[in-house]
Amino acid sequence: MKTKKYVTVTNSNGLGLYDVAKVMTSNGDKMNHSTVRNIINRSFFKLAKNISDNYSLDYDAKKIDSISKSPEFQESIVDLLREKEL
Amino acid sequence: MAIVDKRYSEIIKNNPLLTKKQEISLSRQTKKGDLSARKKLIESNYRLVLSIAKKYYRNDISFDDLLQESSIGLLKAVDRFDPELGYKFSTYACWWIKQAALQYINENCTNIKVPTHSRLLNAKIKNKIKQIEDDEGKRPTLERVSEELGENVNKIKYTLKSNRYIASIDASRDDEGNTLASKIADESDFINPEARLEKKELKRIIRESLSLLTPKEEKIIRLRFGITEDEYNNENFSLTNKMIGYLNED
Repeated sequence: MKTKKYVTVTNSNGLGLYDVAKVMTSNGDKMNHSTVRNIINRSFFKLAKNISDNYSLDYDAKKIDSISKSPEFQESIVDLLREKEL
Repeated sequence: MAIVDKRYSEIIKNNPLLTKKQEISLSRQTKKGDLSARKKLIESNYRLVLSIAKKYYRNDISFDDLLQESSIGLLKAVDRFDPELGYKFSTYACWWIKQAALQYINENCTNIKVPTHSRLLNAKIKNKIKQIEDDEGKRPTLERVSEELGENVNKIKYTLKSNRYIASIDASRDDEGNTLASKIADESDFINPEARLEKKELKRIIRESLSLLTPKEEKIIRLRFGITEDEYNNENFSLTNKMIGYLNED
């Protein structure tokens, strides 16, 4: 099966890392694009870790990191965030 | 056309058409309770039943059954015919035969029985739509059909809806006996409640995990993936949507 490389942003309102950094900076959280990327990666890692803990899966940090960076995982989280807004 | 039962064709062959005088005399005898006269009157009119049944025959019903049901109409006509009124028996009988045939078709052509008046109105609507389409080259609106037929629009909508073609998913669709149901995978939750429960549980865990995100992290993810927060609650953002659009263009 072909694996995805990127998360598909189904909504055209999604911003690039630079633009997110600009928006956050203008709102008082000074940061650059790398920080934005790190925060996104860290957030998904946090979620993946919590889910694996809930299922008592003894995954190491490397495995959780790969799960958290997988487009399928990120997409499902994004979908749930969308549902949350509804 | 279906093959007519051999016995039926023999009866028809052995009983030639009756003259008006014979009809009157046989019906008078029938009224007095003469069973052989009744039998003769019935058998001599099987030809009429056959001719009407042939007219009403269609592929989705059994011809033999249609013939039998139409014969019941003939029996009714024989019992109710009044020879003293001076009409020919066939004039009277054909209405009873048609009624019996139509009733059988109505009750058996679909799994869901629709009242005869609704089916007749449906036929009228279809004919009218076809006629307007042929004349004007475009499909008429329901309002137009309603005007033409003098019926309420809602009634027309309801009639069309209740007379839609119904296909059974369990009916065999090909020579190998495959059904429509066998080709459609049942993905409903009822078929696998365990999977549904697991999915639900996973969703709950993910939702709980989402609460671990700090407001800043959530805001960044929302911006990155274009998940709008409450559109009217953007006081946290000094940038308007227009400005964000402008940034995107850069």
